[in-house]
Amino acid sequence: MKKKDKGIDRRNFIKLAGMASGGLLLGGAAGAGFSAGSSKDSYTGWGRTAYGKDQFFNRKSFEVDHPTYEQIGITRRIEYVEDLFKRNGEMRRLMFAGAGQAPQWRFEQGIESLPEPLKSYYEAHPGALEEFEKSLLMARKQREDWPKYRNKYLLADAYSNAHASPIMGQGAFPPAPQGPPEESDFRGVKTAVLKLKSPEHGSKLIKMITHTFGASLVGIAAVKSDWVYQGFLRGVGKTDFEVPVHWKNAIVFAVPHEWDSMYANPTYGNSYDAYSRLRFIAGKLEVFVKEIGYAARSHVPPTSYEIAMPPLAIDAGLGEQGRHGVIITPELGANTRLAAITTNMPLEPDKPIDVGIKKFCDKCKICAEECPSGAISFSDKPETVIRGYKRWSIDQDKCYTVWNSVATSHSRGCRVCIAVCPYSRKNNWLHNIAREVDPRDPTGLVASGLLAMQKKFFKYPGGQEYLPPPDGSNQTYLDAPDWLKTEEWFDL
Amino acid sequence: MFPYSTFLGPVFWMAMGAFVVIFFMGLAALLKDRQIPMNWWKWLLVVTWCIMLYIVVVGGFTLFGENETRAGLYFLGVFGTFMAVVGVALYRLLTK
Amino acid sequence: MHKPSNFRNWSILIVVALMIMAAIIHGAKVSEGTQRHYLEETFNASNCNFKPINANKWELSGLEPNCTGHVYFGEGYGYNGPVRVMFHTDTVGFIQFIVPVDHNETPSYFKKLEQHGFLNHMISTQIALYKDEEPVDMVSGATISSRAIQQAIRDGYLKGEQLSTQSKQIQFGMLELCILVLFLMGMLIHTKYGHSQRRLLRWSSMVLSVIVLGFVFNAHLHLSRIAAFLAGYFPDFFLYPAVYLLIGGSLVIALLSGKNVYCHSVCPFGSAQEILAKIGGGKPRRPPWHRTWKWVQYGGALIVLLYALSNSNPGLAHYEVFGAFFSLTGNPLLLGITIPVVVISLFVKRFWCRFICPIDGVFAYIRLFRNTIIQTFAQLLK
Repeated sequence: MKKKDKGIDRRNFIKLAGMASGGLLLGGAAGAGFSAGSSKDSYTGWGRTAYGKDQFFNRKSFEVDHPTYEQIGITRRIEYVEDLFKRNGEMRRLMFAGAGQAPQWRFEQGIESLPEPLKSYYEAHPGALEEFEKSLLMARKQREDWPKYRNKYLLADAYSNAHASPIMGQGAFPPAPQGPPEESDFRGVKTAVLKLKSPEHGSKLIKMITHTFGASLVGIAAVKSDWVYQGFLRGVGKTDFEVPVHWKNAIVFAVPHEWDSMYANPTYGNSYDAYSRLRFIAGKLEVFVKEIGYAARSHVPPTSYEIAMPPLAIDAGLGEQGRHGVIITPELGANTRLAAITTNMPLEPDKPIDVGIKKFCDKCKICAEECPSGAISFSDKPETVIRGYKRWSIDQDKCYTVWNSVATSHSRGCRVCIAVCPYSRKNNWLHNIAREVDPRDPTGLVASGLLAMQKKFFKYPGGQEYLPPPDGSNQTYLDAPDWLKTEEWFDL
Repeated sequence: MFPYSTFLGPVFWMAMGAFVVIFFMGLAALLKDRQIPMNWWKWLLVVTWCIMLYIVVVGGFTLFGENETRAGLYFLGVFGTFMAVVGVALYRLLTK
Repeated sequence: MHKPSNFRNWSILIVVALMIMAAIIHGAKVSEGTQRHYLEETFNASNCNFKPINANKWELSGLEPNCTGHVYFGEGYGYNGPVRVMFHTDTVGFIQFIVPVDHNETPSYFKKLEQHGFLNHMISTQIALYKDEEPVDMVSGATISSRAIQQAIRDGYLKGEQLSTQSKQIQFGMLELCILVLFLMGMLIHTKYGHSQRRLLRWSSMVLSVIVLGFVFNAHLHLSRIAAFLAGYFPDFFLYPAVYLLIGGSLVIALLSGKNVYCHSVCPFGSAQEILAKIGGGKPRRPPWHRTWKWVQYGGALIVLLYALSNSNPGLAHYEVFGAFFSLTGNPLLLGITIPVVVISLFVKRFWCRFICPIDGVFAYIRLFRNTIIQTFAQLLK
C-alpha cells in the first residue's frame, strides 16, 4: 500500500514536471524568438561581419542567361538630363545664377526658351516642369517649417549630417576624376604588371578584397554601353563621348542602410550612411586595382556616376528590379545601395539571377500604396518602355517633390518604398525561410501566402501619412530606434 | 541570445533540451494515466503538433523582437487559433 | 389562449417597426443637416441659398458667382464600404468639383486618385453622361476606388433626378451562381429526402459556402447592409446582384416557407462554425437562461440598428466577425473577439449564431411577422 502510494507520487511528479517543462519550453521559445528578432547579428551588413558566410543567399541554382528585364525595340544611352539631379542642377544654374547676376531663365518664359537638352526633355515629359516648380516651393516651405521639427529630429538630422560629411566639398573621398578618363583612370597605375593566373582568379580576389573593405554584396558585370550616361563626363564636362574602351568590366558592390533607422523612414532615415560607406569602399578599391596594375574609376553616390547602377547590378546577378525602380537583392531586399568601379582588369563576369522578384512585384504593390508622392505605378505589369527596355519606372519629379515635403532639415530623401518593401528584411530564421523557400516554389503559392500575410499582419500607415501636417501626420514605417529619439536623451 | 555572456547561451539550450525530455516523459505518463493508447503514428502527430506550436511561438516573438508588434500579434492570433483547432482535433483523434 | 400572445406579437412587430421608422426619419433629418453643413462649409453661406429638392439633390441660388446650379450627394462602394461624395454641377450640367464627404477608405485614398489626375479627369464632364455608364477610365490598380467615386456620382445623379437605371449588362458571375446554387441546395435540404442524402447535401453546401462565399468573395449578410437598405442606400443592382440575391433570397424563402435557409446552410460563418463543432465535437448547448439571453441578442441588434439608422450611417451597425474570420479585415477589437468565438465554437455548436449574431434577430422578426399573420388569419377564419 505504502509502496503504491509512493509510485503514484512519482508518477504525479513526472506528470507535473512534464507540464511545467512544457510551459518553460514555450517561455524559452518566446525568449529565443524575441532575441532572434532583436539580435544585432541579424542586421545584414551591420552585424557580426561584412563577409560572414551566414548572410549570403546561394545564387548558384537561380542563375539565368538573360536578366529579368525585357528588351524591346531600339536601345540608347541615357541622356544626362534624364537623371533628376543632373537636370535639376542645370535648371538651378539657369535660374539662380551667382549674386548680382540676372537669372537666365524664369518659369514665366516657358519651355520654349529653355536651352537644349532641357527643352526636349520637358517637352517629352508633360507636367515635369510644373512638378519641378512645385518642388522648389515645397523646399522653401520645408526650410521654413524645420524649426518646428528641429528638436524632435535633432538626432536624426545630426546622424544624417555626420554621415554626409565625408561626401561633400573639396575633401570628399574618392577625389573627383580630373581630365579625360584615358588619363585620369590610369593616373597612379603601377606599371610592372604581373600576369593574372585567370579572369576567375581576378574575380575571386577582387570580391574578397571588396568584402574586406566593407561591401555586403559584390558582383562583376561586363559594362554595357546602354547603361552609360551621355552628354556629361566627370573631369571633362559637357561632352558627347564614346564609352572608353578600358571600361571593360565593372565591379559593382552594395551595402545596406543601418536597418533600424531605415525602417523609420522618411524622417529618421538617411541616405548618407550607405553613401559614405560606399564611397570609402570605392575609393580604396580604385587604389587597390591601380596598385596591381589596372586602370580604375569609381562611380559613387550620390551623383558621381557615368553609369546607372541598378541595371549594372542586375547584370552582375545581385538582384532584380523592383516596382519602385530600386534593385531588390535576396539578402538586403530594397535596402541595397550601389557603387561600382570600372576597370580594364580581366575578370570573370557573374550571371544574372531570377529569384522571382519581378513576378512578385507584379502582385504586391505595397510600395505603390505607401508612396507619399504617387510616383510608383499601380499597373499589373510594367508598361513603360524606357530607352528600349520594358521595365518599371517611377515619376522622378513627383518623388522629388516629396523629398522637399517631409519633415527634414532639407531635401534629403524619403526612402519609404525601401522601408515598406517586403524583401527588406533582416537576417534571421523567420525571413530566411521565406528567402530560401519562395524562389524554389514553382507554384507561386508560397509567394501568395507570404504576400497575404504581409498585407494582413503588418502595419502600414498609408501614403499621405508620412507627410507633415496638414496632409499627413509625420508617420514613419516602424517606430524609430531609441538612439535616434531626441526625447530619450535630452530634456525637450 | 545572451549578448554579455558566452556561457549562458549553451546553458540555456541545454536546459531547453532537458525540458524537452522531461516534457515528453510527463506527457507519456499523462497519456498512460488517462488510458489513451498510443502508437507510432499517434506519437508522430503529437510531436509534429508540438514542434509546430513551438515554431508559432518563436515566430510571433521574433516579430516582436523586430519591433513589428502588430505583425507578431496577428501571427500569434491567426496561427495560434489554428493550432488550437488542430490541437482539439488531435486530442479527439487520440481519445477516439 | 391565442388572443393574448397574438396581441403581444402584434405589439412587438409594430413597436419595432415604428422605432425603425422613427430612426430612419431622424436619420434623414441628420443627413439633411449634414448635407447642409457640407454646403455651408463649401460655399459662402451668407450669399448663397440652399434648397433641398430631395435626399440627393440641392438647388443653389444666390449672389455669389459660383452659387448656381445643383449639388448632388451620392454613394458608391469602395474597398471598405460606402464612399459618399458631394459634387457640384453648373447650370448646364458640367461637373464643377467633387468632394468626398464620408468614407472608410485609407487616408491616402483620395489623394492618390488626385495624384493620378483622376478627379481632374472627371471634373468638367457632362453629368448627363453618367446616366447610362461611368464615362471616365479607371485608375489602373485602384479600380475599385475610382469606380466607387464614379458610382457615387452616378448614384447621386440618378437619384437626384429620379431617373431609372435601364442600361447595362448585369454582372452575373461565379459568386452569383454560387449563391443561387446554395439557396437551391438549402431548399432541397428541407424537402423529403432521406437522412443520408440530406446530410450529404447539407455538408457539401456548407463546404462550398465556406470556400466560395467565405474565403474567396467574403460575401455575407451584414446588419450594416440591412441598415443601408432600410435607410434607402441601394447599391446598383447591375453591379452588385449578389447583394440583392442574398437579401432577397433569404427574405423571400423565410416569408414564404418559414424556413431560415440562409443561416441553416448558406451563411459561410455558420457553416464554418458547424465545421469547427464537428472538429471539436461541440454540442448545441441551451443553458436555462438561453431564452432570456435571446432577448439580449435581439435587443442588441435592434439598438445597434436604430443607432446606425438615426445617425444615417449604416456602417455603424457593423459588429459581425465574418470579415475578421475570413479575411482578417475589420478593427483589432473585432479580430480579438473572433479568436474566442472560434475556440468556443469548437465546443458549443454554432455559438455565434445562438448567442450573438444580429442577423438571427432579423430572421426572428421575419419569423414572428409570418407566424403572427398566419395566426391572425387562422383566428379570423375560425
